[in-house]
Amino acid sequence: MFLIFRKKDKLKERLSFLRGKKITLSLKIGSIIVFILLFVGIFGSYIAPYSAVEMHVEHIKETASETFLLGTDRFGRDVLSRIIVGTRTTLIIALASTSLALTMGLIVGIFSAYYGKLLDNILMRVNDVFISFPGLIFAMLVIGVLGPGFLSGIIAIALIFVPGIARVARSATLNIVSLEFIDAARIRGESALYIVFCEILPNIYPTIIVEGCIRFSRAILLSASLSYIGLGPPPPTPDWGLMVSEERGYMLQNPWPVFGPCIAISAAVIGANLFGDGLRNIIVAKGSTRKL
Amino acid sequence: MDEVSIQHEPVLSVRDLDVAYFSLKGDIRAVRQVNIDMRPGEVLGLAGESGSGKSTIAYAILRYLPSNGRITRGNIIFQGKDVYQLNNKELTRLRGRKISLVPQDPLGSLNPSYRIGDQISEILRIHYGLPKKEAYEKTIEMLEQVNMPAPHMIAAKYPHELSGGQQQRVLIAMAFCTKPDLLIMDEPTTGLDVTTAARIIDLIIEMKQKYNSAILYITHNLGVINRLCDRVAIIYAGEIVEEGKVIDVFEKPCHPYTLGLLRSIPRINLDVAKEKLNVIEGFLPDLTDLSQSCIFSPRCLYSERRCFSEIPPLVHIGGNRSSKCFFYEKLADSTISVSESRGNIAKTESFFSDDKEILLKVDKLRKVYYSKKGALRAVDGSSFVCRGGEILGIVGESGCGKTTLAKCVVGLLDIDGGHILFNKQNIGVTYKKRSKELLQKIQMIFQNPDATLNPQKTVNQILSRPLALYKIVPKSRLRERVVELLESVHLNENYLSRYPHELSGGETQRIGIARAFAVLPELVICDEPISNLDVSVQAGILNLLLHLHDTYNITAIFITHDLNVVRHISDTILVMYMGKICEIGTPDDIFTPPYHPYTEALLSAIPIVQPNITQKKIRLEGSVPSPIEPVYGCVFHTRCPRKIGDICANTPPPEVEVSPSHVISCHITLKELMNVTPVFSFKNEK
Repeated sequence: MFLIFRKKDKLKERLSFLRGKKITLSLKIGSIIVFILLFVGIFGSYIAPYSAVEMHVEHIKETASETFLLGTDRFGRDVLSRIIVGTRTTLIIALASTSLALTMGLIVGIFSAYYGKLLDNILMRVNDVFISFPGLIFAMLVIGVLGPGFLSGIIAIALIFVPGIARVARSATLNIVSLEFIDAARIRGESALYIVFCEILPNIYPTIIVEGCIRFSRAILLSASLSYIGLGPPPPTPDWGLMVSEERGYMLQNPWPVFGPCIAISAAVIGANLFGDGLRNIIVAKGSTRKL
Repeated sequence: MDEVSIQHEPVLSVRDLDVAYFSLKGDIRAVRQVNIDMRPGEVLGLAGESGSGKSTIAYAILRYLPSNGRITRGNIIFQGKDVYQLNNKELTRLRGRKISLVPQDPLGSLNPSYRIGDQISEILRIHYGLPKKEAYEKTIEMLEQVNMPAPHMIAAKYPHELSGGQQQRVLIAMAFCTKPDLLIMDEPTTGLDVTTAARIIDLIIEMKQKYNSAILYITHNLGVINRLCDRVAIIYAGEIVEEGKVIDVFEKPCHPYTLGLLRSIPRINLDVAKEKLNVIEGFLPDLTDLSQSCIFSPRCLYSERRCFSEIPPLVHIGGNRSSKCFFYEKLADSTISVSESRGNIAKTESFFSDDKEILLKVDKLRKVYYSKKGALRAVDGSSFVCRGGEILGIVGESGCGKTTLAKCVVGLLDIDGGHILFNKQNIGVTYKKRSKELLQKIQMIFQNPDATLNPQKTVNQILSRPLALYKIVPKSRLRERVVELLESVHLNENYLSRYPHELSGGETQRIGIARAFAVLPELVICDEPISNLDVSVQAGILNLLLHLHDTYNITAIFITHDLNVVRHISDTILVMYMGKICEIGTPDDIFTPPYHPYTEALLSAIPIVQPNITQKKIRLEGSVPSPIEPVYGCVFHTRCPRKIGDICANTPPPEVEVSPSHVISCHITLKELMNVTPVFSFKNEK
């Protein structure tokens, strides 16, 4: 399996292919936003002007001002700081769920396509059942069973994504599995595991990565949605969706505690989406022209 | 090839043409200084390999270059008018009506959403303004002219419902229905079976005689040019290096490239089997960076200092010939003649020897694909034997079962009947159930260079893996061994870090060969390894395979549809048709009478390059019957030109042993088969 690690070394060599590829505006904007997101997520607590949970009793429900750049909420907590610290929560849930979904979806999709026939049929029909569930409702079901919290949020969102990723992985694998070098590996006596991980996977991971980036943006939205309806991490953890739902009632007096997180959510979703889209332009199939 | 009224006013006059494509790296000067003259009724063959600029010239004539291409010099005069000075209206009247194009890929050139009849009628309605009914009648007439059975039914069908040969006929019908003065054909028979292609070529000759159109025939297959064309222009990297009558050019070429090409094609003369084919060393030049020198000089065997500092002019040699070489006289006078008249196409000593051990024995192998429509018999009771150290060639057209047979032997497919014995061990199971030792002994080389290597792996990784898997050498010697492997396929260690998309087709196939040989197998199955490569590249791979076979004494099964190649490389040949073996024999046995009727038809259909060999003309009617329908007699009886009666349809043919090496499956008596006139004979013998 050391060949998988070799793959990461090759990444640096591969990055040279970026020269000459279309780096669109979407990719630039998207990368900036995603970078900001990651940065804030990691260093949030250090750059927030105030603590996320400290209540400034004299400054309840204040609108934006010099001291509190986005105002305060009903408990006098600084909205901006809450948004900044809340980035981490959203980010962790979105990243973890996407990674989990990618892993599970890849395995299901690749093996389904590789073995084909009966296994493929069964797995894909089960897949179809899962896909037909409306996403959020399915997540509610899962969290209803597991109880609200970080982990259950991650698992719920991952389960929503797995069927779609499995389908993408499966169709990408189907393109590869009929090619002759797979036959060559089979008659060489390679095990199925080797063929899947060392012959097929290196050929489909670009597609999967792009798919993952786009799912990541949806995961942010889902995570916010779940916490909006109260199924996310419980208070006082600052979480964008939760902030929106808690402050909704006081929106007419002071819109900032609602608008702030909403803008954060939108920016994150759009940014991640643009990033994934721009990435797709770079990941182009290689080797179409050949000199004889 | 007749001298039909060839008047002296050229239909098409291409003068000093230069075509270039824009690119980021600079202008690609795809075509340079090309001069072509075509007269009515004349067939000019434009011969060259991939990337030589043939299609560029064709599209330039039609003024249909892609957006990044343009003519930088010269002009194209068609019937007295400059094509590039015409306005749009005149251009529309020109294209499709006066100049027609038959493109290469029939399925891609027909609109899949419209019926055939509608597509042909459309041409008539646009160019002649015919009303619907008349256009339809003319359509049927055209389909009859191209020998389509049941034209009314064909007109009602969609393109995907027709076979490749039928689609190509439809395209030819479309091209001829406006009685064009110039017809441009871009490799129309590539991708078709040998027997189908032969019929298409006959059709083209027939139509040419009827309509007296000038035809510009673009191809890389010199044998087809020999059969079809009056004159030939050889094009290399955008320049025409030689031009003249086909007979003259192929008999005594006056340019080193032509000579090299002709020598890289395996020949039919039987006493020159397995000779080393000529390989043109080197690669195509970079067309963005050209210097003042002969374009072929880096690869030329005859080049001298002068060739590297001057561009040779196109010199007119007598007899309507021209050559772009300073030293054409050296070539014209030399005794290096491509086709010798020595020897006769008669039986010589066969290579067959009974005493070598049998390595692979296939006994009544059956492979059936079951579907809703019925049972498709891919391989139907084939039996043969492959001896240690020999090269067994399997030849047949598409759908005959040769690839299926190979896959059964190698273990990629399950078998439905019969036995496969390897070293007396029954191996009729798939790779999943075979032991590692067995898998090591049988390896395969694949057809498609684009798919045979993992695009995400370097050459080093690709070649190291089989060595590491079977522990052929200890880890410390791994890299050394990989370099040895590379050198054995005439590559070097610079290739180690390259990825497959950086390699050419020929190089990819070499890596594929190295990979197969890396595990030191006993039997190597080559599934059409050279079919997708250019002619001169094929020669290199063939030489390599023969060299490796001699060095390692490996047994090989070589599958191909190209009879020239199989004759060149094999010790024994199997001819397959619809899942059954028709004839087994040494190359001598196969190429001389007695023949199986199918072999006879195949041999008479292959395009050969030597102009001094005559070939009998036997054409098969109809198309291959469906392999799902049950067959009670000989599989070939529906199309056999020598069918003797009901016995062919009702009783399976016996296996007649002509000699220990030669078996024919036919009802016709041996005596009758022996008396058949040979397919090939030298012209001066008669």
